[in-house]
Amino acid sequence: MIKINGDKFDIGTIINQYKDNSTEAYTLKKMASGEEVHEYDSLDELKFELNLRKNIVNAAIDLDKSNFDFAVFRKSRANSEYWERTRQGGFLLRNGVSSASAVNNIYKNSGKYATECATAMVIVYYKAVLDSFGARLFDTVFSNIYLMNWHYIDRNLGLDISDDISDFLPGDCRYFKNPDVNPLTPEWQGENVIDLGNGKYYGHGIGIRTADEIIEALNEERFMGARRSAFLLDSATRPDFKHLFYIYLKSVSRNEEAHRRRHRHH
Amino acid sequence: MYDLNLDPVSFLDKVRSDRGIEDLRDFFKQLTAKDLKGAKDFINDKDLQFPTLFVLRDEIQRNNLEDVLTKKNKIALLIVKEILTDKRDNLASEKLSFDYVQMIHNVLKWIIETGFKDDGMDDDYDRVLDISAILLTKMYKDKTILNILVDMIFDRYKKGALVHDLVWAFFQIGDPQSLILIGEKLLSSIPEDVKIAARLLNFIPEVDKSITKEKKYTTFLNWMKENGSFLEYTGESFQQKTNPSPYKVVLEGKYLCKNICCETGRTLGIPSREENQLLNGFKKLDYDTKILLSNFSIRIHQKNIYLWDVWLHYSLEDQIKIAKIGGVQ
Repeated sequence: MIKINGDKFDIGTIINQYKDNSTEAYTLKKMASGEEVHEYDSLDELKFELNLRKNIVNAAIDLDKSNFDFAVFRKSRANSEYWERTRQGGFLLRNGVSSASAVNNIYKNSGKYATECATAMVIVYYKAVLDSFGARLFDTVFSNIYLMNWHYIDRNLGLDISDDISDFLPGDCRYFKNPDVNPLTPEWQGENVIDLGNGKYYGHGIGIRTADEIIEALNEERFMGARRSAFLLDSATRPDFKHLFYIYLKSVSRNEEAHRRRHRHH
Repeated sequence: MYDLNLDPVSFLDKVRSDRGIEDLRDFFKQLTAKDLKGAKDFINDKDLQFPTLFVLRDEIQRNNLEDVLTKKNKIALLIVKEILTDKRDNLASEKLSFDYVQMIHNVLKWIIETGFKDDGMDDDYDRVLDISAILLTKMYKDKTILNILVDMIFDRYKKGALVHDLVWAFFQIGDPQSLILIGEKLLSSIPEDVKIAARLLNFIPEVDKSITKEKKYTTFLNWMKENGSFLEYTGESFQQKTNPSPYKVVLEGKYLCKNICCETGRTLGIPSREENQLLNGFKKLDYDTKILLSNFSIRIHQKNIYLWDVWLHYSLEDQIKIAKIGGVQ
């Protein structure tokens, strides 16, 4: 169910604004028919989340199409013009470099980059927020980015894991666990994926697949004689949509105010 | 604690420690050219340490010395090869026997025990240590190396090196008692150690808060005393989340004061019919009430088992009422 300002929201009033097979329409229908109550302070806030979820899905699909490679931290690679590869194998934004350009470069010069699955998820989230915010606001809000697994993530992105979720939505990050992974390849102890909707997921190193296909791929990476299958956890990691909308709204208001002032001045 | 100075040192290890890795390589290269038998004897010295074998592995291969290596060295190099390449059949092709399985275990231990001091030599070396540690904890359930792993984890943290796989290896042992090795670091005189320990134990309420290290340690001990027997291993790792919780409290076990099998999360003893009835009601409660009842149960159990037994025989509603006022009247 969707509630705006405490009132139940009829998705029929906006669903026509989105194409039938779009991520936004799929998400709206899932939110409206699901068990969770999705609460918003305004219609704009709901639309912002729909747009950001669409951008997350697109950022995941684009990363899958790119030449962005899979590598364990010790073998990770990054374009040194934008990122400094740290001793841990993470990518630290170089001083004086625009974070928007650096994130975009991962997509543009994807062949110069390689890392493992969790960092890929974080890259997807930064890219999606960049596409929602625009470069100027993104540079201001995310001036120091360090890409390293789930560590050092900017607070403004607000990525948080939740265990009590009943409606899994496109743009959520899910986790497939592989308890009997072969110790020789700990990188396959699990797979972080972006929910793309319609039963498809993007996992870096595995590609775009269904849940069963991902489980099958992970099971191939188990030790000989393993008895436990890989499985999908009932949790999801999500950015703080509300907080990101608040940042976006403040920026839009500031710009409008500046525009009005300029107009009055002229 | 692991002072290798007390152990006999092989000649090649002495060259490595006195003159460094490059000189060791040069020395061994010259030796193989002049005296292959002498080189073979040196490399097969029973006191040889793993880092030396690792450093000389290319030279050994170049001079076809693999066939004359001791079984320990031979297996160690096969393990290295298997870890650093995608070839998976090196060890499987060997004779499968219990002796051989035991031998691999011993060699993995030797790699960690004689190799940990050179952690940080290079990426490949560190990966070999990481994977050997995972094999020992995950497959062999070997707890004897845990103290070494803890020291390696803390050293790497301080150097800013990669710890993810090593931390995962440590927790793969799936034994709550191993947490004590990290807990002890909360009392370290080095503030960085305390910070790292608190971070690794962040799933214990309050330990990662801004309180004195003594208070952190007491909090840790009290939590272990109250929850140690009711922990289930979750397998959470840094790949999954920022602050993984490798163990979680099984509230049902704590409520019945029945020890939990860490691997399965089920009670070790089979619950009676009456206990099962209680559990059915308990499972339907909200999380906060579950916490209230399970905390009350274990505390009264530790204080007065007779009163605990009386309390547990009340209806669930009465148990909640009593727990809320904090005691049996």
